[in-house]
Amino acid sequence: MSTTIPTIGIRRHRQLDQLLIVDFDVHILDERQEIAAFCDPPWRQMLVDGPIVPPFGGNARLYPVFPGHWSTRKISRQTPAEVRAALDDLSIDLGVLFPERLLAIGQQPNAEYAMALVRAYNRWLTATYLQETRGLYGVVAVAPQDPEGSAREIEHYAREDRVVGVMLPTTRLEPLWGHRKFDPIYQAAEAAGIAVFYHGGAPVQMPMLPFDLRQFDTPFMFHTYTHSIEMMTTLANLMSTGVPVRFPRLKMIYIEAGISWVPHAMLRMDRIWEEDRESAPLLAERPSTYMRRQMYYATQPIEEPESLADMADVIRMIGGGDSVLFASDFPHHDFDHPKKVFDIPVSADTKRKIMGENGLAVLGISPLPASEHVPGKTLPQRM
Amino acid sequence: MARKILVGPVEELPTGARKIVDAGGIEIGVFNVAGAFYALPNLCVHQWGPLCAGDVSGTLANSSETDWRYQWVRDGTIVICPWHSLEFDITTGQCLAYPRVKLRRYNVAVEDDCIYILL
Ligand code: FES
Repeated sequence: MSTTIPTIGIRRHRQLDQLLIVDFDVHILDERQEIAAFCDPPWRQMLVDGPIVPPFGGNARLYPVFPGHWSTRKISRQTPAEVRAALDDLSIDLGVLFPERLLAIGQQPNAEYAMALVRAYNRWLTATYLQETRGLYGVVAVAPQDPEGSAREIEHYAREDRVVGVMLPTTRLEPLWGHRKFDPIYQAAEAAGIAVFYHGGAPVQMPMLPFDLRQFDTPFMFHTYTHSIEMMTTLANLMSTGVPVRFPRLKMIYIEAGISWVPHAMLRMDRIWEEDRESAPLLAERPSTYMRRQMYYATQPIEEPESLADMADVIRMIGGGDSVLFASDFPHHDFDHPKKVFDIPVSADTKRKIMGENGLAVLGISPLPASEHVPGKTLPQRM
Repeated sequence: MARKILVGPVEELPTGARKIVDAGGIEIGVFNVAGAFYALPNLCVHQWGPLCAGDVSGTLANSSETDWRYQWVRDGTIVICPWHSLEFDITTGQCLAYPRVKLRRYNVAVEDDCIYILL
């Protein structure tokens, strides 16, 4: 049986209504029939009645799962107004939208088709979801198969008000995002002053890191590590080729792996840098310095230790909350209610930063006009 | 005085069915498991999801008695939270992941072919 995540039944939590909330991960369903009208010929024909090929399918399930398992649930299309209503129920003022299918764009072997798809998605997104209602923002999709074409796409959309970044999915691609061939994408994003979003996902089996699942025999095993390994390999690769050094004004955001991997990556890379700095001589400072200066970490799926105070320690190790951004991942099976992150025992100031103020600063849209707030919120006046 | 909340006629809730009712501000899910009725709060202890709207299913188990091989057990008695898939035994309210977590259960009565929750 397929079910959708029910949005009815979400309860408003009053404390959240006194707080600006920015959500760094909300998904909309970019089915091929949806974006077909925005696709250039001849590729539009593929979307209308071609066979289902990646990124719209070909995502073979490897594991036996039983009825009721989350992977048997589907998300259904929600109109802009429905997305808005669901975010209102969650007290989320501003949501950054991500696609569903195009997270797998790296799996499409045909570069021209891949490029046509991201163009269609960007047109569809900006003509529909970013126009029709308050508080919805979006990211440009790009095709790793065509970095030059992708850079032009970034230049084209960067001036749009509600386009706040570039999506770089961390699954199904080779090489990793630190490769020099992706420099045009980073150049374009840095020049446009918009962030890049490394978005994790469940990879299909490919015999290469970090996607080699051949020895991961249960969903428990793969789900434990896929996302965090993607983030850690991507990050180490970016350090290795000096992306944060070569693009010092570029903001880099890591999405969908929780945040407990971050202290590990900082501590580990700093230690190894002492011994192996010579092989990455671009790094003029300890890796953790770059990680605190220009990188940001989205909370979902937030870890849930027995004592939530442990998460305050994790946040302190990351740098005190300036680099942490709330994300819900709504409407996915493992999404987080904002209250779960709000409940972490940090100072009121740090809570406000994590839940929304850091986010506005990173997206460069401070202050958010009152017309963009969830109705009924009473936000304290802040200078 | 106990309050009686009407759920509906018995034939509306055959084995395997469930209904969520509004009991004056709180939502309660009523389930028919193998002919008996059970009522649980429609509010998950994890992140406040609408627990009773989840799939009703069974679960996998293994033990030394089966040489640690998987078995599908308790079919039709487990509700899986639609948000993050915590499993609960409908008949006891017991959370399968955390032994110390048990949902409150409401009393259910059948009178004149109608199901009631007793609050
Ligand atoms: S809210 Fe039920 S499992 Fe998370």
